[in-house]
Amino acid sequence: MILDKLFSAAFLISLFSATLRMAGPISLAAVGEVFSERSGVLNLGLEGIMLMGAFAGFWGFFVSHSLALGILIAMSSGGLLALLMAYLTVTLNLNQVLCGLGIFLFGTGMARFLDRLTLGGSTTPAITPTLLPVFPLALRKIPWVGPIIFEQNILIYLSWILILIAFFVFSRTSIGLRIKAVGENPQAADTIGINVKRIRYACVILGGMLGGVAGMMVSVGSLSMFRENVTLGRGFIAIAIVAFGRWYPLRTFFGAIIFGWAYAFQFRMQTFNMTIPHEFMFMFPYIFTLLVMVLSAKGYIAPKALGTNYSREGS
Amino acid sequence: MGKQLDKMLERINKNEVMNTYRKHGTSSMAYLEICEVTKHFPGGVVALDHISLSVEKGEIRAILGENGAGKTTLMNILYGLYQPDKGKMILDGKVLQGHTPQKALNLGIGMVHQNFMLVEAFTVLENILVGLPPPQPLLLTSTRVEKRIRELSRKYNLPVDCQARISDLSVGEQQRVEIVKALYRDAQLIILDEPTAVLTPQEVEVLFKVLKEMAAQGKTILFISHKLKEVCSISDRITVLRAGKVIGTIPTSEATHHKLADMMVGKEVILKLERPTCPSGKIVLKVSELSACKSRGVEVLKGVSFVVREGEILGVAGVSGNGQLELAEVLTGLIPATRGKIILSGKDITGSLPRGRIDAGLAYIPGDRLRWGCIPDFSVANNLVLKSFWKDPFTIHGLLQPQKIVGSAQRLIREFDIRTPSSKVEVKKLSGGNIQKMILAREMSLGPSILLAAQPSRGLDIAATEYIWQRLLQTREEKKGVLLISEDLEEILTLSDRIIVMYEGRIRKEMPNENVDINKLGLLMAGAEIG
Amino acid sequence: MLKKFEISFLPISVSVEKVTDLSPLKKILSPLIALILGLLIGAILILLAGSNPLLGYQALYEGTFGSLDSFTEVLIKAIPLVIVGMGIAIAFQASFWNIGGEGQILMGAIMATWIGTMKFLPAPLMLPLILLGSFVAGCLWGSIAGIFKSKFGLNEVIVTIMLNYVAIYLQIYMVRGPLIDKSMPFWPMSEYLPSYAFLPRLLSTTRLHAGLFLAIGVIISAWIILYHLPFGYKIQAIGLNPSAAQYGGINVGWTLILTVGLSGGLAGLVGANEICGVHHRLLDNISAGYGYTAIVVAVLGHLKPLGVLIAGFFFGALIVGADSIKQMATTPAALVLVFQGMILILVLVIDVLFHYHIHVVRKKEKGEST
Repeated sequence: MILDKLFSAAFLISLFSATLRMAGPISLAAVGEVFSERSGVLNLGLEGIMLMGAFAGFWGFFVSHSLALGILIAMSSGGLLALLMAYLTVTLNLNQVLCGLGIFLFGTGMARFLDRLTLGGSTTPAITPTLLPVFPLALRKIPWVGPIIFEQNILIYLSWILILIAFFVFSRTSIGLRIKAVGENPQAADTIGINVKRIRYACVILGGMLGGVAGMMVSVGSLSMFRENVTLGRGFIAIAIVAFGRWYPLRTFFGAIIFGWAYAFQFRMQTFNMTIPHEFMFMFPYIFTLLVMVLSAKGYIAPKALGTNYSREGS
Repeated sequence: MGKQLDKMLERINKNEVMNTYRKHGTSSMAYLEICEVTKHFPGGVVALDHISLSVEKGEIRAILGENGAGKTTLMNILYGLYQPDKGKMILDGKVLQGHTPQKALNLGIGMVHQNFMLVEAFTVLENILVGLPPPQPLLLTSTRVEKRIRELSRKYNLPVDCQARISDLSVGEQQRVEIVKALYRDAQLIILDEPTAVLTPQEVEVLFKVLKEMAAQGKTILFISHKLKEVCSISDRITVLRAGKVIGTIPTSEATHHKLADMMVGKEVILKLERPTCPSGKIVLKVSELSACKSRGVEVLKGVSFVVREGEILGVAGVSGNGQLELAEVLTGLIPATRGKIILSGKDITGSLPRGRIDAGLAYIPGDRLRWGCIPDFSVANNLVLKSFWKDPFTIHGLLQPQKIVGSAQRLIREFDIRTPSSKVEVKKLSGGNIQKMILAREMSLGPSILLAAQPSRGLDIAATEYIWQRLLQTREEKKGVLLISEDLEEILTLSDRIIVMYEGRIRKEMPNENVDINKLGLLMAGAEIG
Repeated sequence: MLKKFEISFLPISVSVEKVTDLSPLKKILSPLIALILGLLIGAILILLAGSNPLLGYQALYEGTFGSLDSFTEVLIKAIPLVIVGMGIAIAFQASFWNIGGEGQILMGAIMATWIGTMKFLPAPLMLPLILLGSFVAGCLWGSIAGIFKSKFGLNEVIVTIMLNYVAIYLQIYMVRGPLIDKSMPFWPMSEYLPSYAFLPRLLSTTRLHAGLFLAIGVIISAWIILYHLPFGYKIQAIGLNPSAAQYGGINVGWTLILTVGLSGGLAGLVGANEICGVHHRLLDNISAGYGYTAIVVAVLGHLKPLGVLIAGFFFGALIVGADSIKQMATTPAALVLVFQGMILILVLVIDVLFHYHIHVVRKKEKGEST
């Protein structure tokens, strides 16, 4: 009986549709992190940036009723936090791990602080309108493809476009090559005239902007509300996925899809399965991440200079 | 011993047909003027002290000095990597202000660094593409670039394979890529920092031919080196640097080894050590069919076999990247042996952990002393007990004994002439030579039966080199075995009793160090088949 | 390296020189200055939250030191911070970024509750068993991350954070399931522990409990381990240069796992501390973010035992004091969170800034070279 339901079209369509929806925020955040890490900076503050973006985008949309403005604010908040991270690691050469944690704590705290400050007072919970579908009904009615691909919200489509651009940048453009050079051997890049600091700043800030929008995808896109810790560790999962995707945007997107599937599956299993307590279902994405990390551990070819700061000696 | 080397280099000098085609600068002002350049480093170190010199266009100028004299610092300033505290530089009439590598490249300055500035994960083509002058096109277009690379490659006789990945290339090939990179950017002034350190004698000959061709085409060349013989054979004029100061500039035709050595060191010292005859005893280290793989599963050490006896120094010659590093790592236990045996003083240590090998009597002076040889943030005292801190007398009843550690350190500092204000100073503050002495002190204090020394005098000035070499000979006299791995042929020829040549993970040949034919040695190092 | 700045309209020139050493005075000053700067910025936040920062800080002071009651509350908050902070500091000294404090505390708490509710155990054994059990629970939880890093090279930050979430859900499950107080099935909390499982109260009018001795004991033990035992040498060695340490004969993999185990175990002890000393039962949110706050405590204390002790105390004061800032349009918890992140960043920045000496010199006359 259960197996019947599991393989029914309705269930699968709903599962795959949810897969793409849940994968969205993680994939965008992860691709942003790909930029940052390809240039050599591990930004552990991504979770804080996502949360801040989740709040900022939500607040922007809620207050102005303009999605575009919300996106802009989410991007800016993420970008600002990332700017701070870039300043600390690229200019001041501080330890990347500790700075990232600082940004994580700061961003998480700020999001909560501002949330209480601006929206906490009212008696009615703040909800943003559900995002309207983008494609015409005709496309959305196509069996299978319709509900899965064409029923997503605009933020998801935006994330796909951004990820495609990222793929293009890294595989075909000269700027992509320079970013890779900075992440592999910043000293060599410096000697051939590449401005290492500028590239790292740009990549980290871009990562932050994408991370901010990714956060917004959770609050506005999926839930239509903002809750404390709404991102629930997705920022860190995104970082794990970057490694799984071997720092390639498309592979990372694929990893995020697998992830999205894990989330969506776990959610649906909760309604089916009464014997396993749902807390264990909630654990699933995190254990899944650990498993993915262990299985993909061999053949780790990270950008050689990832995590190490670079400064010209004696300059 | 050095005679063969001399003769070969003289040959290069005499083949100077190209000399007659060299252009001399027509203007009265030199092509490159360096005026009163001064550079301080944090901690009060004066790296360069009012350096002034001038170079003509089309000249091959050698900058000679021992390690630490300031040659690389000066070149880094010229290239824009460092900023001088005082002074200025004028290239072709233009003052170099707010200089950066980007500007240097635009002005036609190209540099081939001692440690190659190449991205190992990239191909040759990508390395050159990524350094193209702005404005760079959005999309990567490689056909035109590839064509130009091939043209340059042909013109200057620098064969490079555009599609090859740098990590797959030999050191000599990588150097060619670096030179092509500089030529691609139309460099008119080319700086080479210790280019021959990684080459076989034959490759050096080829390089010199290339450099002379470049000079004949009107390019100006700055050749940094600490090797007297090479400098005399390639250059038009020699500028000698010592302790950050210019001692003088003389035409090569007037230079003699003695004069140069005098200028370099301030006293008549040519490194000539006597190697007293020493009867060798029983076998202390026996290696048979030893093999090991690199991280990607590629076999880099392929069935190596040799012995080292008490009272002898076995020199392992070879260009870097032919398995010497892996040999050292397998012997010390850092990577596992895939095949073969290592027997130390009769004990099979093939599968032992590093600590087991230390206990069995193996001592190691690593080539990368800051990474493998010491903990730079620890004090000298703590570093000296790195291999013995858990033992009596440094730990009694489970508690560390700081006074004993310091006391022992003080003793070793005196005995090994380690220049440090105190034993509590962090090792990273010591000079390279003193760090090396400290490592040596630590290793010898364990009373090993065999000492494995990799590139022991790399980066050291003459005084420190002399000390280390003396100590190695002393170790030999104390009836211990020494396995010397070095890319420096002079070091190998000075110290070894027997020599083995490594190429592509195998031993090419073994020979006693008597009347060694340098030519042959060089050919073996480059992989040629010799009967 | 000397950088000179000339300000044209002022008769001075400023030169900045990078110094390689920090005097001991500077080392003590930097966390202090970070705290002060943090408080200043915090004042701005309080202002934003609609409250008066001066009143706020006054309330903070009174809330902390005003009475014996509030002072002991500070100690109660400081105890877990000091213990976990020291654990994290030890791990950080080995360059292992243990962010899993939260999860390790929770595992310890779960174990403590489980043992504490075992009716058949004899009374005198209970407390020692709980302490041991919670230490082992935290130790094992931390070791997972240690093994993953040692054997697979996995990024320990991600692993420990993932384990945090797993532990949180496990705790949520436990307190609604196996460990639930069956007499009150609608509240997510465990049974009340028997009184012989309590950490004894030290001052009868306050909540201060024997966990204080635990904290002091941990600090002293850490000091002994780090500076007087070969194990401590190994910890610092693998943290500063694992390559040289390995080649020198230290078994880096094992040392790492043991260090992380110790770190996790200390966090586990805090789980027991909270159960046996403060709440006497398992509740949601029993770890109260200590795992993350302790990271800031560790860095603020420069990873040294004495530093962690002092920093832990300060943060305890902060947390208690934040509660007493009245009429803020935001929760004290949020304020503390922001403050934490800020302090962490400030400490790092000030440490770096202290490396630069600033000389202000009367300008030389025109014509003299720079």
